Amino acid sequence: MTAIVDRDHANKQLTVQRSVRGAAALVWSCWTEPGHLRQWWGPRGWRSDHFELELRPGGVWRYRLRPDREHGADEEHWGRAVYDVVDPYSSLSFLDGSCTPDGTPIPGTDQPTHVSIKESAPSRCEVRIVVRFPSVHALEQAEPTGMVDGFTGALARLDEYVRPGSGKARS
Amino acid sequence: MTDHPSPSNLAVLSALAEPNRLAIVSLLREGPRAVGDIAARIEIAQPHASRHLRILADAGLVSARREAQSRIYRLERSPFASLENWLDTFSAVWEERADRLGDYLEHLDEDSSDTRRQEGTS
Repeated sequence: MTAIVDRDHANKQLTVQRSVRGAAALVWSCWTEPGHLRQWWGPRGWRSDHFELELRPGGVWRYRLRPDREHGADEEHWGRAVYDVVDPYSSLSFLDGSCTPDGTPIPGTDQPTHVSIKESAPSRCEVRIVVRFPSVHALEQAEPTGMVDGFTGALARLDEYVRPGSGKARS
Repeated sequence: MTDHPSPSNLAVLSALAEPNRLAIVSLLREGPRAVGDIAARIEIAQPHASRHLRILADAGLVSARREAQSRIYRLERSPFASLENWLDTFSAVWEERADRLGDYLEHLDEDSSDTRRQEGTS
């Protein structure tokens, strides 16, 4: 099952749509509950830890991404998202940004992300993710932070901008 | 294959990150146009249009040729191609993320009592 990807260059917007197994309520839980998120959020080979998740408009979701392999602290990525729309089972949007390990937001890293969930059949949903790219200023800022140094490969590096999740959970 | 936005991609993104310039680029998708025509269509003063076009030209997004009294602007393909390559790497990140969610849900489904396969035709 592959995702449908649409790249809107002029508007700097990326849409990824994929069909997944599960009722809308379950898919919603996967996006909004730490116990589920840690099982899949992030690139393969990474794990995520979720420290704070207050599911309401204005609420904060804070997490850490780190490689499964041995790694230095500077390879960890700390994310801090602020929810905007919280419409159970169907629509979730948040401003996805980076933060320091103590939770201080890093200005200019916010990236608007919208997730919509629609049941297309019993126990099957279409998940649509729309990501708007950070401002050019944010891209310029992200480079010198050094946060991504040490990540391997292009994807991991870009991940920092898109804001990755990782996790293969299960300790 | 670039790992991160190259300086030229940043210049392109920067140039596009302005409503009037984005409108100009959209307009030029239909074909080359003279400055005066662009200004009229976008509904901005010609000096402003000229300024925006110069920024777009500096980023390599448009080029101009002189024809009689006016300058005709057209879109250049290469910056968009370069941008597309870069955006592809973003896409891969999100595709992978969507796949992980899909895989996770497949496993959850196997664990649950409801194992009916519902390959919806949607």
